Amino acid sequence: MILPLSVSLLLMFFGAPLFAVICGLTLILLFSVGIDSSALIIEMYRMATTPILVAIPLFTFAGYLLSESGAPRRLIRLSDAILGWLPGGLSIIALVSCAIFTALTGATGLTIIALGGILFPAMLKGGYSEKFSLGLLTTSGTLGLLFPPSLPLIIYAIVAKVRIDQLFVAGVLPGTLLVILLSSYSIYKASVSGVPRKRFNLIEVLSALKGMAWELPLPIVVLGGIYSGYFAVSEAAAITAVYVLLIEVVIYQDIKWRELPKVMRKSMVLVGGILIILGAALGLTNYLIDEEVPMKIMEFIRGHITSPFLFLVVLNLFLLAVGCIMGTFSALIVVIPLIPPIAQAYGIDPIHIGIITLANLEIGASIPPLGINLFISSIRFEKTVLRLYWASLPFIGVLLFALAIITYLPWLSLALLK
Amino acid sequence: MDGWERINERIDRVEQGLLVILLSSMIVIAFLQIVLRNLFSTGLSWGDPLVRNLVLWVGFIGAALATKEGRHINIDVLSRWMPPLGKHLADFVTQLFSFFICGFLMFAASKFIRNEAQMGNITFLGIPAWIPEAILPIVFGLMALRFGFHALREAAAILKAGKSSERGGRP
Amino acid sequence: ERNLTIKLATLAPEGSSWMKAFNQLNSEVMKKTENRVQFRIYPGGVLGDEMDMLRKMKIGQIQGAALTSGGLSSLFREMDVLQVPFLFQNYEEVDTVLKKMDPFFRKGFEESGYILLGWSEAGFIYLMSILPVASVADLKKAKVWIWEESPMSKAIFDEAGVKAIPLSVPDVLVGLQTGLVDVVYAPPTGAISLQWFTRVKYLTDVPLAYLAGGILVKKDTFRQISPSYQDSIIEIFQRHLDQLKAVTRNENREAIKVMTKQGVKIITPSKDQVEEFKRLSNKAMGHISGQSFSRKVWEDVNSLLEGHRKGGR
Ligand code: NA
Ligand code: NA
Repeated sequence: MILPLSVSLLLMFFGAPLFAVICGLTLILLFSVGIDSSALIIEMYRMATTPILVAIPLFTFAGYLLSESGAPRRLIRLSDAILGWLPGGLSIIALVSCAIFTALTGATGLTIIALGGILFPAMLKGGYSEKFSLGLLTTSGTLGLLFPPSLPLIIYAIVAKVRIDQLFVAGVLPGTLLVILLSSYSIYKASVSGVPRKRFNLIEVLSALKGMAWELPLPIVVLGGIYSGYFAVSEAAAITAVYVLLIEVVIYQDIKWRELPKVMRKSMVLVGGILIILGAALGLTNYLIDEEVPMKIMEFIRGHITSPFLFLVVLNLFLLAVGCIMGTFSALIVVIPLIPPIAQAYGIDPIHIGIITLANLEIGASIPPLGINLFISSIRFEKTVLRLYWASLPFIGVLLFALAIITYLPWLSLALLK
Repeated sequence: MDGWERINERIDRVEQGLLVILLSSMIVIAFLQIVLRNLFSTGLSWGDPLVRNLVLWVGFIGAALATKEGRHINIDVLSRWMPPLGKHLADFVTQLFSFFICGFLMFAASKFIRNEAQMGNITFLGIPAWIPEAILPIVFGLMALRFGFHALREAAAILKAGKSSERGGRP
Repeated sequence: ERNLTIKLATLAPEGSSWMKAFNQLNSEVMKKTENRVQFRIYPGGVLGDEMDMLRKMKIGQIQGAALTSGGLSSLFREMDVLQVPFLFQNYEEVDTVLKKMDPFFRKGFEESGYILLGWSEAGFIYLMSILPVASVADLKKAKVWIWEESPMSKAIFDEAGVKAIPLSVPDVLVGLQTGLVDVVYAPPTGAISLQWFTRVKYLTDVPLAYLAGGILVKKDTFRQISPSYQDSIIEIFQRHLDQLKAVTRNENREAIKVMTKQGVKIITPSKDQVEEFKRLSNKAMGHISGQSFSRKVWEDVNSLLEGHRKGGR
């Protein structure tokens, strides 16, 4: 039992595909408790056919189209024109657009796939170091989870029985804090490392705007379409795919029709790599639930800790680990039901604990060794996972600092409610 | 080995063709739902389940292609500091491991399909659910083959390196 | 004799009255069987939706599940008949039909390999809307959400020719806010927990359909229990589930009150308008295909209802 488990883990460090390692572990664990191996397949199938995940292939395809087109070049020109005078201007654009996108797509790291391909080359060309750009885009893969109408917020409200409109409002300040702290860090880094700055030039701004005249309306089309009831949040992906296809292939003609199969293949190889890992992770989660592991940990915490202060420390560590190992969606289903009753026992506001939980899951997705954002970045930017661990560390530091503020300053979550 | 490469390329072409057809249908149907609803106040009730099945197919065909291109996500921290022979050895072992895992998964997926057929569930338009689900054992089988042949290639490389070092070692 | 732990999955969340009932009946079962039999409950859908539960029962990861209409009728098709829209007018009618049909349904489940431990329910589903809905004509003006897993309700919306909007459940709340859909349906308690009540303005006070519930255990697992305990376990289950039913009905009534307090207006259609809904439903059921309940069951249920309505008045 111990031997095959450690062999699988060792093989992971020798470069065995991660999905094979997780599946191997799961198969051994299932065998040890006498559950049929097809339980793993049930979970993989469940993952691949989850309605919310329909967005993955569509956003991925759209993201690859954008990155293979002239859009990154046009974006860097525009952001240079508008914010080139501000140190770190482009990185702030990147952070804000990642946050908006994640609020729309949920938290599967889709942001990295869809926006990474356009922002990464733009940041490199804009003079940012590769390490900085990788770290920023990786940790921003789930940034924005706290902004409405993000699906994790909705699921939390339903599962934990708190008012969704209150939770929507409560997320705004903590979510903004995360964006502001990351932006400040980026401005600092950009000015220290001498990212080139430009003088503001209105004519250049206007002509850059004209250059992107077809791409800029995309977020307005998507957000406007959702808020005026033309389509559902989960349909944003289809709209985006069709819109991007139309502008890049028909209008700008940056991509020829006959090049489309190649783009499709590239993007779907990525989708396959991600779906199979998410499926394997859900399979492992199924074993953990069957053995009631998360429940036992929470029971242990409840039995051994009396101080609310200490409880929040332990809760944060537990949730970060959960966000890292399970990924946001399985964590939402498995862990959230356990938290509100316990938090209530320590006298913590249910809305505040909800924001803490979601902030943890948001950050946990970027934490080594298993945070899904790291893997998605690895495959999207074709860098080793080790390199991404290293690049993300400073950003994770900033995020953990923000997490501490969010956790111990309930005012931030509750101020707008009063 | 060469025979396998030819077959592998042929399978690749089939997968590529399927990907293009399935992804295009997914985009068209998902978009059509929105158009139908807003312009004609109607929707295809089989549209959403069909799109979900398309995601399953596109995703798993993508995973099979990722195997062919050696682009599955991994955390390779040790083999970078190893000599070439060690690298081949590590590759051989990890590919063999993946071969066995995918073999197991194919077996597990076949059981899954058998159970689904017995349960008699229906997906969109009256199609038995196990038919689209059959992509699972097929892809795991294909992935096992690809990992298996990759392992064989590494084994051959190791043998060759062993022989040449023997020859080179003689005075 | 070996001790038996029966793993049972449910969508009911931790802390709900369902879970309270489960915990109570579990301790009673343990007491009765001197700890030889106990249930381990997995609440809140942590093991997946009802289809996943069925799959996991099939492979033996779990041995039991609390299922609602959708899951139950995929084990025994004839269960679909209980979901026919506008079939029941009140819970008394439901109880009459279920009592009479109980042996028939039990036998059906047993033939597909499951023992019914007891009936429970999610309750009546009501139409809730942004625009007032009292008649078929009102419905036709609205954008009606259709739930993929409620084929019977879908059939009558098809029949009425309304603008049917298929959406996944998590999309509905935002959809109501943005005007993507005007009409949704759920049991009142469901509308509270899914928070739809914060967005809708009207509730149409005619039961649209009945959502049954049942706790099932795999037959081969149940047969491992010593026969002397089998009957008492079923008795314990049904007793607690009957209490739970009363609690659920009360919670649904309370939920409507909560909604009214929130400003949701109750719309009571006239007798003619209700009749029109019923005619529509009957017409739709006329061309439901072979995938569903049989003619015979349909007639049985209708004659039971007729008998009850004549006798009751
Ligand atoms: Na995202
Ligand atoms: Na993960």
